[in-house]
Amino acid sequence: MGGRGALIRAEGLVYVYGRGRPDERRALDGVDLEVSAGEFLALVGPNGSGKSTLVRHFNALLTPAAGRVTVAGLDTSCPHNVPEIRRLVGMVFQNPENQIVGSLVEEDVAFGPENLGLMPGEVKDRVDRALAVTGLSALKDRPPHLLSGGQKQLLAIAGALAVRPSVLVLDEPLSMLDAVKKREILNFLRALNQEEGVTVVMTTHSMEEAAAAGRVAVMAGGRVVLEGAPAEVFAKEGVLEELGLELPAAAKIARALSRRGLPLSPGITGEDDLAGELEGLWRLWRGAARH
Amino acid sequence: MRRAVIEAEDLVYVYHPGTPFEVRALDGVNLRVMEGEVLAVVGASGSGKSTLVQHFNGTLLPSSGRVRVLGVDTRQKGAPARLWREVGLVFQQPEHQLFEETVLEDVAFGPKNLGLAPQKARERALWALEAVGLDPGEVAGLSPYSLSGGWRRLAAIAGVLALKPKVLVLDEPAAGLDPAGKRRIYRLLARLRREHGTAVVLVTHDLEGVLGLAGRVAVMARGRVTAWGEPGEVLSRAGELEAAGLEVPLTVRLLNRLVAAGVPVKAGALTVGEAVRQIAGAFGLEGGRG
Repeated sequence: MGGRGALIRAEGLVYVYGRGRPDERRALDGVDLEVSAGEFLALVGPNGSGKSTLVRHFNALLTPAAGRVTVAGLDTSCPHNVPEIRRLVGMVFQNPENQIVGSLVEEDVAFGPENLGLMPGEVKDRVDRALAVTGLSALKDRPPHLLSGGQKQLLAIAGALAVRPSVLVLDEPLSMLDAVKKREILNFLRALNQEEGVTVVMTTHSMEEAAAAGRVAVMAGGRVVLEGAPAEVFAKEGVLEELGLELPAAAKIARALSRRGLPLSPGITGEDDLAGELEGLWRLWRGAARH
Repeated sequence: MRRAVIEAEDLVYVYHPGTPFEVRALDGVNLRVMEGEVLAVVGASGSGKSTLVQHFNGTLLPSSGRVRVLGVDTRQKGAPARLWREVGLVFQQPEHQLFEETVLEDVAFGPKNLGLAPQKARERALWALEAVGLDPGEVAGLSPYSLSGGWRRLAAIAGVLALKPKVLVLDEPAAGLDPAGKRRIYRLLARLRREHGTAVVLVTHDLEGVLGLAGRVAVMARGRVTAWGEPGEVLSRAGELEAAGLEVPLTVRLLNRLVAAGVPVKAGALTVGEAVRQIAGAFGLEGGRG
């Protein structure tokens, strides 16, 4: 394989929960989406828009009712492709409780790499690195049930990382974390993506978190309704508002000031851009006022 | 004068005392929850918030120190059984604890357990569903699993509310919900306090979300309460928040940076609207402050 082709491809993907029952629900209603090798994609959308259902197709936990999903060219509907697909695609879910298997933190993280049949030294290296990057090294001898909710979520991420997947798929990984841990994990995911070339797909409700990604796909009613770089997507303020999604605070402030006539660039999404431009404008403004 | 409904005095809690896993999760907490108030308890992951609130309905009992709920020491014999009715505790992601066939049966489970007759329990359940803003006609007969995440959360809260507790304690009630779902939860809590005088204790990371809701904020770090006060006041104390591992709101950070760059704005704006007014004012734009 190699190259930056589509690593994951969903075509005309339909999924129905409780098919044939009176409360049958069409969760995905024709999704077309490609995830390129090496990208960082954020999937955003309100509750019930189909984000979680979609990403569960990426490691063949769910298979399409209609349409097709391929991972590295492998069709997820073929049972004999599933082991290879699960090695390529690591998953982290919102609720970490269901993903913890070891009786100690260290053992839990070792579970995945041990299952790959790696040498003990290699397993240890991977575990140590995964614990270090998630900040859990000091807790490696604790039983997982003694960790806080946020620490458990970090543990789930460490466990997935230790397998060194090509794609890391995270379903609402940050929702139970405090703001500082959120930012640490986001920075970590960005570094993992940019420095180690791991493809990252993350679902979230938060535009603030989505701003960290290279590309954003917005879901509503079981379809992808918007797609593009964060700044492009944030520019469609009306559509986002209709979906009940909020722009990041920095983007909101930038927009409100632009409307009042301050000449800020249109693509501001983050704090540093906004603070930098405001400081620059202030120097100009003060200079002009002196003359 | 307002009464304290919950009082924690020098509360210490140690997980697994005397083992290598011993963790002093609470290290001398002093805190009061007053009648009819909304108190937000904020703190980084692992700061002891969840351990603290599990003392409020007797799920955990102090290793040392004391917790009194409605005047009764939680270690008193028979206290936990009573507390269970008076203090409703909504755990993190409570929607994972729904288990009955229909939403109505699930919400009626608690009242039935209290010994209410089936008809009474049903009435309570219908009342609680309405109180959380779900239409009983629409959802009562559905399977809890067919509800969306936000609605399932509301149904789970209704299950606790159906006990008509005097104090409602919620651990991260809005985490994982979209902005509309979050606002629905916060509006619900404000209404419960207003209309029923229910005291609400809210454990959360979402400092900005609880600004208009909580009357007081207690900041926890390393098993202690390190700061408390009105939300606006606490949120603008950047140093203390950072020391507790919490993030300072973007609006506060931004204005602090602008102050440092010599822009004449007043530091400490807590909302986007206030930040915009301050900056617009400094640049002499319309809609700025004066």
